[in-house]
Amino acid sequence: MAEPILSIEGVSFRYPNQSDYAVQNVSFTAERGEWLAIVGHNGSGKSTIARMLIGLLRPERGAIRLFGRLLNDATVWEVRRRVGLVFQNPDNQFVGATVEDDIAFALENNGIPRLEMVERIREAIRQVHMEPFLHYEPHRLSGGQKQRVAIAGILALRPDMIILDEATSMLDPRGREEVLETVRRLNRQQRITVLSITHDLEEAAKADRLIVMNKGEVMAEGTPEQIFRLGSKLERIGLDLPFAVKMGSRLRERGIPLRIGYFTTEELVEELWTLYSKK
Amino acid sequence: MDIVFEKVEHVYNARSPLARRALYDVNVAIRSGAYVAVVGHTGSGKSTLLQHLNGLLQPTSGAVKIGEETITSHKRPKQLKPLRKKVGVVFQFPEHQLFEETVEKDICFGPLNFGVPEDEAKRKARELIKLVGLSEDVLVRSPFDLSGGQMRRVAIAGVLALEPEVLVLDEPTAGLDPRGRKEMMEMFYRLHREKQLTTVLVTHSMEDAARYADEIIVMHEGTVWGHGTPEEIFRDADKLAAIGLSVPETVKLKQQLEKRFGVVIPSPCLTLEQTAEAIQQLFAKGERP
Repeated sequence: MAEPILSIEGVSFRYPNQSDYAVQNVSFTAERGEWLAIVGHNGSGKSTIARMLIGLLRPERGAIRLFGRLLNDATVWEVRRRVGLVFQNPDNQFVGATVEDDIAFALENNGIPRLEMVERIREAIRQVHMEPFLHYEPHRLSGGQKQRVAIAGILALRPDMIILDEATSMLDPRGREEVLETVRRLNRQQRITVLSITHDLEEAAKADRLIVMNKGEVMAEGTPEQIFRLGSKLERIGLDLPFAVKMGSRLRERGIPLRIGYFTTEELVEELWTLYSKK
Repeated sequence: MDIVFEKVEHVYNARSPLARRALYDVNVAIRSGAYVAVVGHTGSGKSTLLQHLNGLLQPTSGAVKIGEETITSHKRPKQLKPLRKKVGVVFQFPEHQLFEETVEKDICFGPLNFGVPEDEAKRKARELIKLVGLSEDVLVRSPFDLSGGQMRRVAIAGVLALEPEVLVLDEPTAGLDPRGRKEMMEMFYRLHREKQLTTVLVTHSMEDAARYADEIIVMHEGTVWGHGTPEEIFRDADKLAAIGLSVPETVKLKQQLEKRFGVVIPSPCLTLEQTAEAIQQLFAKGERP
């Protein structure tokens, strides 16, 4: 089996002056090119994990390995160059006066020569389909456009992994779709590993694999199909099921013998049609 | 309180080269006691519309009538104080507006400014903290030690402390997890009924608009594109899609079923329960079309 790009082994973390663990004995891995979603309610520990992955927080116990190397003071800078984090609030991550300056910021910090910077900015802005906005001031962009610029800033550093920390939760439906579409394309075409931290199970349904967090611990792990079979267990820990799953369970309660294990509206319609035409 | 917009126009930076028309020809009436959802794409004018409801913005032409008060381009902000008491606005991320040392002081800030005696304001704070689903011992704590969801509830209690007759909610559940979202929407619905409020909800969630609102106002490019019951508004999904809006998931399912089955489903299918019942009836009829 291929070496995992990320592996977390028995990691625990407590915030200062807190007796309860925010993250407790968590282990999982991610393969190169995989889209992994970590889902859980607010306060389940999922953002704490993201912060540990780029060395903003240090685990109390356990080990984090990225690209085959242990994360520590000596490796953290390399990790931050190779892993990009997109935060929740699009307004909290701009430093440049224009889109172009903003993307240039991290490149300057990494000592990239000017000619190469110009080239990388052009390439990054194209990948997020924001070329016409290169000289815009960030505050004139919509939320979805701002998040795409944040992603371009990461792409300019040629990352191996992108972490989305609730990156779509403050966007309107169109903005959310824009951002997810961009990330999906990068994931498929460039095999950038994606770790999306979210409480939106419609977003999580797009992942290859899901990890469900509850009260700091991993509650379940599997493909979207396997996870959504947990049904009301997910609702009990404050998550919402995809629409077709919720609808399906209500129809079963009313005596319509639907099978379990689909999660798009189209699949539900086909399933209902099959049952209906057999009558 | 009845709210009426008459030929309202709003131009930002009027009489300057940066002038931008955000609203035009807005004619709409919201009856007292109604729960109205305002939907529209980002940039459609819904935030500008909302800011006219308590005089934060004045129309550059036309008039906004709120109860007995009329706001026109001439009406001075000084005369708007009574209106601000009657119309409570919960802005997006209201927790960012908290500033006092304790939760109690934060909730009392508004009433004290409007001349309510201190013991009366404190009594109200105790009542409101429970109404928004927090316990009384939160009152002595710093609002900044609370979780995001708790902070938001404190900020909402601060708005309710002025006993508004109209409650305006701008994306009140943005950033909350699914359970927090549902609890908050149920709380507003309960307040709407118990306090007989007129509620204006600005939202991107077509599900919430379908579930809670009596009427929906659809904004598009600065003016009212449509106004009706959820059933009327969600009848034409294609027209909504053309202006970048969608219908609730339940309505999408209904339309796909109608197409696949070659039938007409009479129910508006606005909630999960309503839709489940409509599908059950479809199956109970038995015969294939």
